[in-house]
Amino acid sequence: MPKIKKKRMGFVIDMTPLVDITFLLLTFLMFTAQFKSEAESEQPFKLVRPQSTASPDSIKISENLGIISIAKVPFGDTSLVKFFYGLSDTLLEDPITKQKIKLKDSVWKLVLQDKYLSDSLREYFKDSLYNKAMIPVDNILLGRLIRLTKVASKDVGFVIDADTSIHYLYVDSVMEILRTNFATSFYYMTARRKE
Amino acid sequence: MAGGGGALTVPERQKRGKISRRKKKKRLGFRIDMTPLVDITFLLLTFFMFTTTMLKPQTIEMKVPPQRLEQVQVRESDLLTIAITDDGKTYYFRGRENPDSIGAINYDDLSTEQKILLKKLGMKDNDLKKKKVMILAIMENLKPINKKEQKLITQLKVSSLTKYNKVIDVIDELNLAETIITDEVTKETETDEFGNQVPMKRKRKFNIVQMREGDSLLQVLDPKYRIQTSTGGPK
Repeated sequence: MPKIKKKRMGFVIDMTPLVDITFLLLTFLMFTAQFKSEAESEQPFKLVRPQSTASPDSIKISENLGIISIAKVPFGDTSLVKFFYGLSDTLLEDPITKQKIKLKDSVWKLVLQDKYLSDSLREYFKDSLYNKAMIPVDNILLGRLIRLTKVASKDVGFVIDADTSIHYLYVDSVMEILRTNFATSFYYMTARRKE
Repeated sequence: MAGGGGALTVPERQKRGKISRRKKKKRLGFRIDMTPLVDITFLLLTFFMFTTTMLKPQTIEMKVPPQRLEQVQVRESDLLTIAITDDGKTYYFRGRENPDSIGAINYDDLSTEQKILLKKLGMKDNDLKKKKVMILAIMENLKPINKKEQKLITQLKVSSLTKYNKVIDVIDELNLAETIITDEVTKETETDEFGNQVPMKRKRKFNIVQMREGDSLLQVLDPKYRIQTSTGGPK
């Protein structure tokens, strides 16, 4: 009797849906990923933020922000505490022309009209470094920049982003600069506390 | 989308010399229906896309009074000072009382009513042992007189060499306490200008200042000044 040969079953997996999903995820991640800008990676400091409990009234990233960083910068064998000032990339509407303009550009336009500031920050214009994330400032420069930021945008918020290990006196002096420039409401930037 | 794969086809083996008489058999493709899997995956993906919040930096809001030239006078009994020294130790005192260490606040030492109150307010067991500034702020603000009059001013005095994270820790605890205090205060009612009974408003009075040279607090905390205090110096 002839043997009955068993049918061989071919094994096929349709990969199309898997590929679809993978592409979808890839596209999603590609659109949401934010790369560190060149300017950011050039920052001469690294901050460790103090931790705080989650609060619902956290600022929105979309808000116009003036960010004051207080960080330790390596100096020989030791480190120095320095102030840095940066502005958010948010867009403003020009009240007259109704054109959208970046907060950063708006403030730097005003800086150019201020002789003291434009002289002090000349090197940043020369190399068009004003787009750099944070620029080092002293107390006087910081005060003037805060004032100009308030002129550029009335609803600007200020954030103190200080390193966890610095002494309070630096934070206090920044708070005093903010206060004397009529910025009496501001935020401390922190990291989410890990319970 | 691109088309899927078909059954795997293997080139037919030709037998040398003679023609194969065997009947060609059709190989049946084995298919798995992926549709439910894809459905679920899409559902999950959509769910996560809508619920995920990208990591945002946390913030603590701070309001400072505008610079004032005239001095505001307050009753000493309405002033609760929390002081942080250079070495990060935290003290508290009311008015001109001698400072007590926050570290000495012990949950077990509280009265039974206070313990019940704190638990009723939703403080976690873990917080009851650790968050001493929070306990202090709640107990002081919810004292019947302070709760009713809403005049208590919390003042945070920070020494210039205190580490920044210590200050944030204390402010964070005070903020945590504030939500509980506000909840409790708004349960009470007050009479508005039209004579209606409305929920009481929480009027938070909080101030943060740097401890200055010659500050009376420094004189109390610093042992070398404390000797002077005992000999009749400023308290």
